[in-house]
Amino acid sequence: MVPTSLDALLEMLYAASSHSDRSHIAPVLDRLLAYLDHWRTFSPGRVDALFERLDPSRLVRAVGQTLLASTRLACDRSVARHRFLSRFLDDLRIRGTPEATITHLQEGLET
Amino acid sequence: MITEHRARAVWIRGADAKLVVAIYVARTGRAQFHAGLYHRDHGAASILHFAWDRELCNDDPGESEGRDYGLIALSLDEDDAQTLCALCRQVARRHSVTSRFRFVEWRPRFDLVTAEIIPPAIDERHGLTCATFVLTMLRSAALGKLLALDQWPVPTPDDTDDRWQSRWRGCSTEPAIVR
Repeated sequence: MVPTSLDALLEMLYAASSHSDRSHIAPVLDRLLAYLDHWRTFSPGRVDALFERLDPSRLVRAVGQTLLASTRLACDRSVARHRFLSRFLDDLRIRGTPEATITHLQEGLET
Repeated sequence: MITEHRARAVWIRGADAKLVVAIYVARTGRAQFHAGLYHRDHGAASILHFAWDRELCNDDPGESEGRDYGLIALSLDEDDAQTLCALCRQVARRHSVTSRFRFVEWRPRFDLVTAEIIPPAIDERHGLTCATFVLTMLRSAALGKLLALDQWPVPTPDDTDDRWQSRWRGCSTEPAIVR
């Protein structure tokens, strides 16, 4: 799968997340994973740029947690990822996600 | 709950939904079962299962015709189910021939971008079975705490499972496998 540009990927993720039909999510998650697969090798800065630009409040939780679950190697532990994880968890609290769910996700995604 | 033992396909809560992840359990012998992950995210359903050494399959459920199997739907919310489905698709694409069938597990997870197993197997004795593959997938999607592994019964020497593992070790041409 040819990686999507960052701008196009962001638009896809936001558009799918704002759609009431959850069937729009699966194809963009595959696009997200293809983007990570490609740029983590050739230009890790583009992965950091994704973390920096993504706004968790405009995403369904599945997008944020798939991104974080897919970037748990030591080489992925960038400041940008850490900041995104913090924003992601803060947003879950704002949405009223049960604290037990947040704690569970935090434990799974921090390591 | 599985409601009928001998049915070819036992559809249980959630399995007909457009978005579902379920544990797939197939009978392969009188006291022997095979496990995998049934996953469907608003598209075609597939069964991702570690069939044998270096043989990870992502099959159409129709390919299980003639085999008794059941599905135990996981009670995940939409976000967790879609994350796990995405990870199933990714691991299926990238990990078809790499995993070793071994009985000694070390609680790893898949890196879902590179398909690396993290941490790597300590040595040739370590690998996955069909069941520990399922657990590894759940752990990879940050869902590992669905299962209380510490409460699993300790294997009993010379029980049915132990005898089956011994038979498998006996026919393996791979490096010696020990507990």
